Amino acid sequence: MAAEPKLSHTAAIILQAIQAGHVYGFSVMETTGLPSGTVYPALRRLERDGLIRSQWESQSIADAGQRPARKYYRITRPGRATLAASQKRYPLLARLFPVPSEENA
Amino acid sequence: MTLRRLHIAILRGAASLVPAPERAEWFAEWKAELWYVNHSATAFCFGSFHDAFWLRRNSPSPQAGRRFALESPVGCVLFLAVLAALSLLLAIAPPLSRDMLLPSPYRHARNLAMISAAGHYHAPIPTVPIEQYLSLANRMPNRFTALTFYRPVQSRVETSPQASEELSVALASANLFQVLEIPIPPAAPRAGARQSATPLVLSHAAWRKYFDCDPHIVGRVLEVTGQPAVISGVIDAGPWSLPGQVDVWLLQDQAHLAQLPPHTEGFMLGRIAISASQPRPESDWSLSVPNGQGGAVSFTCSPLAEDQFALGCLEIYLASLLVLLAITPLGLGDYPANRYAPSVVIRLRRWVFLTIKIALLVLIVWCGGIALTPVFPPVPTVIVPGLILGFRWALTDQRQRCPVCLRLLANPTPIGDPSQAFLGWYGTELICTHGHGLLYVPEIRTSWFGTQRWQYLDPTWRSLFS
Repeated sequence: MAAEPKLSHTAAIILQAIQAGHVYGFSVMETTGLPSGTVYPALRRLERDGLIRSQWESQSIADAGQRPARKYYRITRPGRATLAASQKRYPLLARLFPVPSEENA
Repeated sequence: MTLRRLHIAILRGAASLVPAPERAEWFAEWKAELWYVNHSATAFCFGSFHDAFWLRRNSPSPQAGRRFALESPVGCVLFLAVLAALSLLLAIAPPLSRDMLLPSPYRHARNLAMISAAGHYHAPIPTVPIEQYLSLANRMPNRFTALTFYRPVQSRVETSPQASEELSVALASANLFQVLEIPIPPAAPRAGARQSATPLVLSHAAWRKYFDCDPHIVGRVLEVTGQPAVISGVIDAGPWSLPGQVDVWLLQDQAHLAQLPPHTEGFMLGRIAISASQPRPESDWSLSVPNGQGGAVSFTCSPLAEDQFALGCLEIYLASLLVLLAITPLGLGDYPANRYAPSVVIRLRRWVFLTIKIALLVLIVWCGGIALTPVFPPVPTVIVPGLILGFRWALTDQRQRCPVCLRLLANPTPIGDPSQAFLGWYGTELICTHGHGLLYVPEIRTSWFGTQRWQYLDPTWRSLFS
């Protein structure tokens, strides 16, 4: 079994934010308080490591909303596993940005 | 709308730094995200530069892999040499900067002062009316032992019996070259010429250009500004560093100068009187003299040169180095982690490289600071911070280079786990892409690993890197 990549605290925060439903770069920035020069490279690293996946929004949806198309990020299955491991390592992480389902539970 | 355009322009600037294959994607994402930014949009845009630099360092694309010329030691030195040449050109181009850069050509320049009308600090234009010069020369202020005056004008000069040229003629007082301590031998007009001719001195450039380097020119009588002038000598281009471009100097006595219109403005120069009670002034001072009508006329006197210029440079270098030592934890020593070490020649080359870098940086900062003098008048304002930053960059750059091939190290990799074991070593490992070794940089300095260490790899490892 391949070893799960260990995340830095910053990367774990970003991954947790995406898991919590903040699915585009600026939303992650606003939620985490991290600057733009940190968030986007971190998103790229997470995507390179297969922990998240990105996808451009359909142009027709963006046109209907009269706004530019967004690039959405979604956590992958390995990403969830890595995040779970990180939550054990950084126990406060899950409380920072609770996943909506956890909030309702 | 304008702000929005500015933000897009910033993003475009950042995108231009992104490796080409990824440029469009990144620009599109930044632009899309910008639409949602309600506050601190400019900060968001500048953050894109951080992204771009990160990409340049980490992108696997071949274009990004072609790092800037600074990676190779030769490229780095060439880059700095080009910058140094540009700085030198910028510093030499304006006359004021050139005067600061080059030593004064006058033997006792500290005893000379340029006297300008009040408020005209180092004015490159004539500011003193001839009537004020004549008045001052007649009632010599006790701060000076001699005063001299000149005014450059354009005038046709008879360069040969058949031709004349438009030259820059300095209408000067007869004692100009005596005050400057430039010896001009008295010349008698040639036989048959008028005896009342005014002495005329040619610049070396004018002698070559307009008089075909005539070796027997001294004593020749010319018609200059409507009066006969006898050529007394030719002076080299070097000794003239005063304001105004001059081809020839017409040395007139006071009576001739008094015939000029009273408000004709020129440059005035004085030889400073120095005695036990009047020490040599080190900086500009103001001179006020009665104008004969109950009032006073003020002048600004500026010493022509400071012999302490070199000493001042040394003080600036030392101050910069002391500040650098205080703010830079980087040592310059080599801390090998194993016994294998490169030869003395290779180690010497490393120090030569550092010395060349520092020498070029000093030239860049010094000339750049002098070129910026019109914007930031006190030279140390620019030079001290520039030298500190330059020296710091030189040291940092040196520590990031392979001691053997002097190329910048690559592939920084975090090693260790800071949160698992506090006492465990963790930091960054960098590698020489030519296989000369590995550099370990600790994240936290400890008693057993206080500074970065270089692990040399012997030649048997090279096959892994070829």
